[in-house]
Amino acid sequence: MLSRLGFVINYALGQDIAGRAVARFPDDVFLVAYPGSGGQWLRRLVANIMGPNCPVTEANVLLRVPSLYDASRRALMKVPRPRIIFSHESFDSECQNKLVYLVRDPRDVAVSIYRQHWCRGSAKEPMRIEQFVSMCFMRTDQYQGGWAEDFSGRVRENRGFFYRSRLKEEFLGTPASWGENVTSWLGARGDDPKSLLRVHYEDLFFDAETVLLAISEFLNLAFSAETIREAIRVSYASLSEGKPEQPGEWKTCLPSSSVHEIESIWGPVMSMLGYPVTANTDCANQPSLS
Amino acid sequence: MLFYSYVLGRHQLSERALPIRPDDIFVVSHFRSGNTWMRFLLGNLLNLEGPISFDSIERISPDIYQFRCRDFCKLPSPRLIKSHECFDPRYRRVIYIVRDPRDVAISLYHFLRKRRAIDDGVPLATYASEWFIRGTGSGVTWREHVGSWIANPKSLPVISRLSQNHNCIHELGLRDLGACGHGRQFLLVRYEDLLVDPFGGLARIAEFLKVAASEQQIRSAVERSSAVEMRKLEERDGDRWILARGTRQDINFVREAKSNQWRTKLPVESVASIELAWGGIMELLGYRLSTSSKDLDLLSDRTPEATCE
Repeated sequence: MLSRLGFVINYALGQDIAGRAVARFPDDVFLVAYPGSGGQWLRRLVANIMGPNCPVTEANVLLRVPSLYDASRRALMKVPRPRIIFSHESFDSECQNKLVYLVRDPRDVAVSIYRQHWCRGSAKEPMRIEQFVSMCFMRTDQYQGGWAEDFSGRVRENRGFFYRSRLKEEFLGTPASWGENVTSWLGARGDDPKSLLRVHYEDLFFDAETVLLAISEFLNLAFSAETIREAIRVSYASLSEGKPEQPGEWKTCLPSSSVHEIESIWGPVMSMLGYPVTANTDCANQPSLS
Repeated sequence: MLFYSYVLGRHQLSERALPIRPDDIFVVSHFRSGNTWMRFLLGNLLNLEGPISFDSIERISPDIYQFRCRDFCKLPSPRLIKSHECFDPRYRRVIYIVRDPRDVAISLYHFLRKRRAIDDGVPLATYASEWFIRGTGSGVTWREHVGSWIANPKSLPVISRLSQNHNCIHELGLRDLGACGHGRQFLLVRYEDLLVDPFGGLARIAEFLKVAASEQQIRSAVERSSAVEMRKLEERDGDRWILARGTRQDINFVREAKSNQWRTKLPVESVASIELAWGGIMELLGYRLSTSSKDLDLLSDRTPEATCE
């Protein structure tokens, strides 16, 4: 009841975070990426295209490309329309306008999420990468238990009462597992190029200009190639920590058992997306992260 | 007042914030696809108190859009819950009902008239050819709803290509469809199959739910949930039913309960529009198209494409 009371106060002040339940406008455009898929990098690039003379920082990227999970309801209402909103959600029928969907090789996604959350000394229960893949990455079957559900569970644990009281019923969103996120979006929309533009992290890494030009054209933003090149330069120059991750790191970082586990479940989707499954799993080397 | 209710847990939950238990059974479908019939069937099968009525259905099988948070949390497990949500990874036991979209269009048209969401002046042809395909009135298209729930790693490569191709050759059967990953229990039920053989269908559902039901119990549940019975119940206490409150009483909620209504009631142009938009996924679900693929290609103003592998 206390957190409900806190939410009422936050709501009255417009400080609540609606997460997936945010009120949409029909012209909202969504950038959707599963966690660990390089979504933050795409978000930064897009934000810089929108204002190449004033590079975004960690703080003001929220104003240009707000995320469902950080921006307060009041802040979201202040963003000029048409808004470009960043999201990790699995299929969401409320996104009725165009949508850019960023995908990345799930083997790299696993490595990326593991690096971000689980191998740091600060993690409550550090675990090895193969444990992470089996117990978190490949699961959503436990009630509020798998990693994606834990996405909001983690918020509950780590962010304290004041943050939690900004969430209605402590709910933020349901990204689901990597496979469910991809299958729900592509299953619902099909490969309809008019409503969903699928972009790959690997292409964004090696040739950001072409990808961003395609996004710009898809969203009718009419940004010139020069603006885009400048935005890419500015984005690289303003990086405070670490460059975007090199695609294919799983080949050296992910144990063959984990590679096999991912491929055995999501293999057909991976092949369809152009991420060939390994003919045999011997090519994965010894794990260097554990 | 609203805030006071919220603090005390008397508010209605937003669909995604609903606290879910792992053993909750969800009856999920697009609108007007036999969800209420399924709730009656299951309610009558599982409920030992007596026949289900429109008065008791919301207590036995709550609708996620109507229930208050506090009451919802008090219900004993396993809860039998009705939902029209698109894919939600938190649902662990799902009975998904799919119905021919050409029939859904007719039924939804009358339902939206009942709800006063569309005017009597809007002809069925306009609704079915334009609004229904865009999801106007219901907020989500049939294609998106069904696609989000039937896709899985095996079926996705076929499903994602269907919007571009009407002659897709594949080896997928109904059993290969459904978001059954990560241990989710998923049963795909076609409304039309249930109409043809409600006894067999309910027996299959009871088996899926691991309910030991005798032949007699299943037969009695089917009889108590027949369209004739449901129409009688609607006449008796339909106006007290929460879903029917404030709606037009001259249009019934329980309609014909038949399949293939579109053959006589839906204009040919509307049928062609629906088949052009979703033909691939309809065929995947076993709904044969009446418009030839040549005509569909002419309608879509493009040359016939090669079939996919």
